[in-house]
Amino acid sequence: MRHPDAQALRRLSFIPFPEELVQVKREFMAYARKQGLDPGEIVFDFLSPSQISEAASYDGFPGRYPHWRFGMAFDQLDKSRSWGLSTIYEMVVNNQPAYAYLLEGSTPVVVRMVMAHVLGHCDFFRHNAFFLGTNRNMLNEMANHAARVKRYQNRHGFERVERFLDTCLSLENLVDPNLLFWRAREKESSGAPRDDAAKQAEPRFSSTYLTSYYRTARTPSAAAKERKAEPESPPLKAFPERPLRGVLDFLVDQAPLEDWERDILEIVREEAYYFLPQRLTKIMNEGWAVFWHTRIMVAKGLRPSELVEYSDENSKIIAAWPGRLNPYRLGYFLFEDIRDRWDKGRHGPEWETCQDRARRERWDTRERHGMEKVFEVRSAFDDAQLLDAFLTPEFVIKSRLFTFRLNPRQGAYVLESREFQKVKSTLLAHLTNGGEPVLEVVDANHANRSELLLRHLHDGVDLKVGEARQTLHALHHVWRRPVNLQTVFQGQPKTYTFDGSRDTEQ
Amino acid sequence: MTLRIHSDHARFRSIVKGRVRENLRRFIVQGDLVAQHGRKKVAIPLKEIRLPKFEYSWEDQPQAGQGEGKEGDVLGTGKPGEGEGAGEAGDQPGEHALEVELTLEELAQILGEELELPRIQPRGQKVLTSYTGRFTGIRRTGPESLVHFKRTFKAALRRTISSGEYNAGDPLVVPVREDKRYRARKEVLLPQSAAAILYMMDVSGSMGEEQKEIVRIEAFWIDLWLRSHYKNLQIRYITHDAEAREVDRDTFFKSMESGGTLISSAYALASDMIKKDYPPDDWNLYLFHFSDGDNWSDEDSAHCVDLMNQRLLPAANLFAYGQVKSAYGSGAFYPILEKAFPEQENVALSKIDDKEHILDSIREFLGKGR
Repeated sequence: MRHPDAQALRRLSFIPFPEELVQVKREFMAYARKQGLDPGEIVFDFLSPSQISEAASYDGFPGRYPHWRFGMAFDQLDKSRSWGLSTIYEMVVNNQPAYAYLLEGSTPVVVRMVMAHVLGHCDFFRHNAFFLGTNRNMLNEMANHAARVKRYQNRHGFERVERFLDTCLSLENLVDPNLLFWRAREKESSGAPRDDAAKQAEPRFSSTYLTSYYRTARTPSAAAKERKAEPESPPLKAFPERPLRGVLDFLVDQAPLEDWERDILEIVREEAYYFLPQRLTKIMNEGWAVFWHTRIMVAKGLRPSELVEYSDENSKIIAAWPGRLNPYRLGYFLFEDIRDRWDKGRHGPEWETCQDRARRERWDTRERHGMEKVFEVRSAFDDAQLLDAFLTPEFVIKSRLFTFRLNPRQGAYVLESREFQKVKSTLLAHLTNGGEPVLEVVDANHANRSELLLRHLHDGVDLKVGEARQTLHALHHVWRRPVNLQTVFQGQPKTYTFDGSRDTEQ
Repeated sequence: MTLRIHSDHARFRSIVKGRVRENLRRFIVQGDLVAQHGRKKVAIPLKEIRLPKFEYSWEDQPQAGQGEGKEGDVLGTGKPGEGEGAGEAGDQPGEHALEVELTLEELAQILGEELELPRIQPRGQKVLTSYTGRFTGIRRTGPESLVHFKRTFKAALRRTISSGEYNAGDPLVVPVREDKRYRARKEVLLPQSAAAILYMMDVSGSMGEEQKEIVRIEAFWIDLWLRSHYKNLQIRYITHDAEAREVDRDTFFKSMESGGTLISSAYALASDMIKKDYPPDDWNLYLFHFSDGDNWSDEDSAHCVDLMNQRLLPAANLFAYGQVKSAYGSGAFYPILEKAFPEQENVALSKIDDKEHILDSIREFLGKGR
């Protein structure tokens, strides 16, 4: 069955999907399903190089709302494409059915490799826990967002709407990953009729805000535990009663906005939550896709004469980038490592405590649970959890991981350490919460004058102060009353305030 | 092929142009665009345009990487904007400079908007043939893809009626080969105005490197503006100390002489060139003279005024004199011209004390709209 929007998307492409590739797709699918993957329905389509750049600029959605930042992305992507610096071979859109764009003019081997790769992504979208709540009708939803934004532009003026969009986009990273699971649950329950007992158990709140408060309040998190330990618990009738991590959700519900403004903020929030799982699982997702394209290609995708070309292309994908971490490589080798360890039984207390090097090298309990384990990992983990649980000292050595940092005296990046703990904590610092700082709404009636107070949960890395101040301006634009941010800067607790005309700090 | 992204891209470009315009004074003072002389597009380094966010400042934090090397090895230089060496899981910290490319026309337009320069009304028109791309003509031969159906049918109708084949009861008209009419490109004569710039500069000992740099920057922007008005623009260069000679562009900006200064020598040479190559009826002439205001004698200055009155000004759209301040120059020439041409339409005088004044000086020169 074709997606209703397929007709519209079809117009993008002038090349019908060739019969021979339809056959390839069928074979790949059959093989993938036999191996336990469940990629669902996928629509493949060829796009020209500049169409691919366009699609990539819109994060895969050619019908997105108009905004200059997509134009900026296109400027850079298309330039680097035409200078031959980068090629985008493929884009996948997490949708039902999934849409995958292939690059026109790729060699048959590359096309097949990319198709196999896409199967991995699609399976991941459908089965990773962080994606369970994502809207699978996002192509239509995005087009809907675009229509709304355009309507507001016509009604309220292009620049006014653009300015407000800029403001909202400054706040788009203030989302709470924990809410992904509540969204998933909500989606599930809205699909199937619930039994009455379950209905009784759910408290019913009329306001959407209270519902989201309720969700957050019950979400177990480290932050919640920390909060309990705090001596100065918020006074009675504090609002919100407990700090909320979903700042964006709070603003959608509570900020004094006009209807069209609230709708735009809501659009930005919807899209932020749609893309959030992809941000949290970059290494997992790419690793899983490489893990499977290698298997599918070797089993079903190659004539003997094509082996060299395939190996060459594949090695480009998993090559170590100079000085930068390649998520394809890291993810792929981690999955292979997990499979190997659980095949050979190299886990558990006995393995952990074994100091005998020779024995470790020969270690093989013939457990053969590797495949089961990787499927389990793909279902339940995000990048931070993956590295926390499965990064081993052996792996760090084998894959030549290191940490580096800017040495201001040399004005250069210098290799700092190859020590396991150091590498691991560095990776985790960059991956936790998708590499974004955690902020929460502490008080919406700060100083009893409906000022907004946000707190940055400082974990050792400061915020960019200049940027933070600019962002406070955006926040003020939404909240319309003075806004405050508590953080720590260079070891000192600080509160930055913007009251609509003046920046102050304490 | 039209892509939807093009409208977002156009919006982004207009934001970029706005930034360039805001920073125009800085770009002019720095003079680094001038180095790209002779190219069709100029690359302009701008600070990255981005929306502010609450973000970690990763710059001084350790990051993870992969590959060979031992502790203490240098991986790459940390100049902001290169994004080299930095990055983690697809993330790219560090300030990214945005390099935007503008065509010379776009840059000229920005200059015009910022300085509120009036468009130039060209004088004297040299008529040149040019083809318009429109298919407005009709021919009897041509490719089938260009058949003009209506005309063809009319011709066929006329033929059948005149030959008596036409039957009103059964109005069947079948065009034959002779009836076929084809669209054709029409040649149109379009007036195209031609212009010439004569740059004159004092290269005597008192004009230093800094003064020449100012002239170089100013000439770049003047070229840019005039080029956006005249498709056919010739530029020639005259240097002078005690005597004048025509030189090429490189020599013009680089040569350094010692010796005295006779401004009239340059004016005389310019008037000879005009007489020989640029009849005023066909050419829009722009004369720019830069010096530090030193001249050998008052008699020579008087001679200059005579030359201007009799030979240069009648032929020129604009005579512009820019007096660059130097430690050795007396600056005496400026008041002489000021006195001689208090209300002359096509004389523009400007004092350029330092690079900061270039923008104002350009406005004084080109603000006349001539």
